[in-house]
Amino acid sequence: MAGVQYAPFSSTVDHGFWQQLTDKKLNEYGLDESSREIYGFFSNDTAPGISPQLMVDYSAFNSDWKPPPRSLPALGLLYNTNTIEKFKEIDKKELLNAVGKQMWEELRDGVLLREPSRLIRFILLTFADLKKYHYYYWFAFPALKFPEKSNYVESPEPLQQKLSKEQLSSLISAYDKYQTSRPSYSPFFLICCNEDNYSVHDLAEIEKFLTSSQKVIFAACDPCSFPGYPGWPVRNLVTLLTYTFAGKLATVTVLSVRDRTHAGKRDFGSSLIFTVEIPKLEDLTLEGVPDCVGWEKNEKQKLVPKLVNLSSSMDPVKLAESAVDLNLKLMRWRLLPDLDLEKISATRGLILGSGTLGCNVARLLMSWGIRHITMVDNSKVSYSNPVRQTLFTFDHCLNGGQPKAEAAAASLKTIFPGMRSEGITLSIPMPGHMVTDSLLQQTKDQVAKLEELIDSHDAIFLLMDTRESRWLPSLIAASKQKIVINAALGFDTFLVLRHGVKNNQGPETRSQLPDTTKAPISGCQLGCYFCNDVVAPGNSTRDRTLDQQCTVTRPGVSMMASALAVELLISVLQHPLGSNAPADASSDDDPWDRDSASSLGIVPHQIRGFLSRFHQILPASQAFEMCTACSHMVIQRYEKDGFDFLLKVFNEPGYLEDLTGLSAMHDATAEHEVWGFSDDDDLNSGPGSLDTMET
Amino acid sequence: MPDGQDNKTFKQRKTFAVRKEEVEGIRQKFPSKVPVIVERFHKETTLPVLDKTKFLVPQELTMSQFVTIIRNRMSLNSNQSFYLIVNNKSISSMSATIAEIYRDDKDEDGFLYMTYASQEMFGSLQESTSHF
Repeated sequence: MAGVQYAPFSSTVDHGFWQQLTDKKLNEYGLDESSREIYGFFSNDTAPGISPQLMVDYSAFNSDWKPPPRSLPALGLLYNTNTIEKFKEIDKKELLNAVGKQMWEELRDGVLLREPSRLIRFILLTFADLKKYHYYYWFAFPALKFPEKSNYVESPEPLQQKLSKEQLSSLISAYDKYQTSRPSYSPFFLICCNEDNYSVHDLAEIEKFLTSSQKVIFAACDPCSFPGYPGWPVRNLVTLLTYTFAGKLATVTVLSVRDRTHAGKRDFGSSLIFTVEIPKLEDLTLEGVPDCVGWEKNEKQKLVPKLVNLSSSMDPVKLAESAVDLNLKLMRWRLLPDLDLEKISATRGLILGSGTLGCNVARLLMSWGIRHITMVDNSKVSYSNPVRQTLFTFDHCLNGGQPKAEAAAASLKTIFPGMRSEGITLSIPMPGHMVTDSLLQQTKDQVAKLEELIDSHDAIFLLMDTRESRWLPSLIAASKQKIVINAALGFDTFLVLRHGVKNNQGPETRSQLPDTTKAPISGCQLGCYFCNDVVAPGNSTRDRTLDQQCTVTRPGVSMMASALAVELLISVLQHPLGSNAPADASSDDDPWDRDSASSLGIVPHQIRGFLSRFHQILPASQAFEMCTACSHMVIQRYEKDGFDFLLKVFNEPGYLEDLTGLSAMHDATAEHEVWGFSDDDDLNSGPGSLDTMET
Repeated sequence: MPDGQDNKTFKQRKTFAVRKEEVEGIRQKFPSKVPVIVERFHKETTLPVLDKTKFLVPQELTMSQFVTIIRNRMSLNSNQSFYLIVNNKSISSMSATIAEIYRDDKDEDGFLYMTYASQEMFGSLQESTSHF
């Protein structure tokens, strides 16, 4: 007769279990290594080819635990060790035998017959390395070696080959009636056959049926799907049957119930039915406790523990990261399916100026999932800053104040540890601010650092406090063809604009649209901050009174400008043409042009806000061929002569205007050609009125 | 202070009919000149008020030249930056000619309206000893 072989469980642990264990370990167990009762479950609907699984999940620690619907309970014992050494050294044989002894006693005392679900046990030995979120674990599924060996009298066969359709459906309805009448499904039960009628009963009722002439089948819900092999619960059922019926029965018929669904149809008929021999009493050892086996083997059939590395899903930093990403991804569900979050989050932001604008811009970039942010400033946090500059607190002001750039970068990481933010204290050399010999090397280093920074970032935010400090980064970024978003504040006005990003088509030419100034302007033809005026930046801080030097703005203006600056960048990134996205120049009240808009809408050139009227306009203008920062002439000279050129700009007032032709234009502008009049000058009263003309 | 006559704008001071009539006369008499009204933004405090509001500008003049003239009339030094809003909502490219701007942005009354204001330049509330 062939020996019976059982397919062991394989363990499946849900991440939620490890989260719970971490929580218990940290907040409840501490260093207490006592064993804990936990719960697992399995099901008997395993699909063909899948190994029989015993699962534990987040609910395993619940004191009022119940298995999920249609699942069968398993009673577990958790041993969580404090160290990896203890985990390795603990006597595994002893752990298993302790459970075996308990099972044996319950068998002897009849407990198992009354509560057969206690036959399905597991041991979980764990060590949780909570610094790395590495979890070492090893399952055992205890089975008593009693009898030492079982033999088939009739080998397993699918139930559908033994039963008629009618018999099968009678059995199924009896099974359903039995299971659904219970608080939760039972893994073991009795089936009685009375001609073609089947009924299902608790194992404990066995005495009632033994004396009757009815045929009795012992059934176990079987997680195994392999043809010809019953699963682990069947093994323990056979142990129970052997102990109970040795000397009374010679054989027992067992049904291993597999209640799966295949292609939408219930497939109960794949359950295995077979008959095993009950050894004679004299062949059994009833003295002492039988050996217990059951440590889980790995995929290579080796007896070793498993390791799960959950650092990516358990580390709070990582958890925050995935939560932040999820939040952004939700935008794609319905609102913006084509939103290119990957492009946005891969954008590296350089924030020049870590004041009100810089702090708010950094926060908003972070909100959009941009992780790589470099803050630049040259000053320290002062007592007036934190109330408006949203990355600073009172503590940053103490002891002379922390450097703003570093403090802001550190705050970003405090808010969201996933940030790759860096703070750099750097002064930006400026036109009109003389570089003396003693400052030469320092200025050279500053220029080199700024060039390196602009080179290593994708979007440059100009958020500094003077016009002239915006010049050098405007030029370098224009040369390197980076996206520049410029934001500047007045008392109750703001300007947000994107600089045109030149492509390599040489000197700017006027748009070839002679019939209108209202046509959309390509991104590469748009002006920069300096294209709106006809003078080079100079030292604006000279000869100014305190109130002129120290701007006061309505607090909301900075928030508005920061928000628009960031949203402008996002709109540029999302546009299929990127920085070359055209800007509407129609100045229509509704500048919505489907051809030039992305899924986020239009990409304006400038946004100018006037808070006194809560009003905003979206002008667009072309690059100025005599611009002191972005004209071809200036870029070319910078690229050719590098620092020598810059030094001339810093030290020689008028140099930029001479170079760009602005000086010549100023001189050539014949003022007398423009006639100015007061209100009441009547221009229609005849040539005589020209006497009042100004020249 | 010659603040544009009682803080009223040119449009507020003269009726549409009067303005329209005035432009028609000007255009007839000086067909190559564009009538431009230049006024200070009502909230502007740094820039001075121009002594004149009405200008006849040669149509071939570029915006950059016009800005140069306005700067000179206000006697701005090179550290003061300003911009002109055209027709309350546009900003013209510096290379555009007054004729082009007039064609695209003139008011119903026939004048071309411009408003000047200081260019914003502040980024934070730092004292100017720091350049951010």
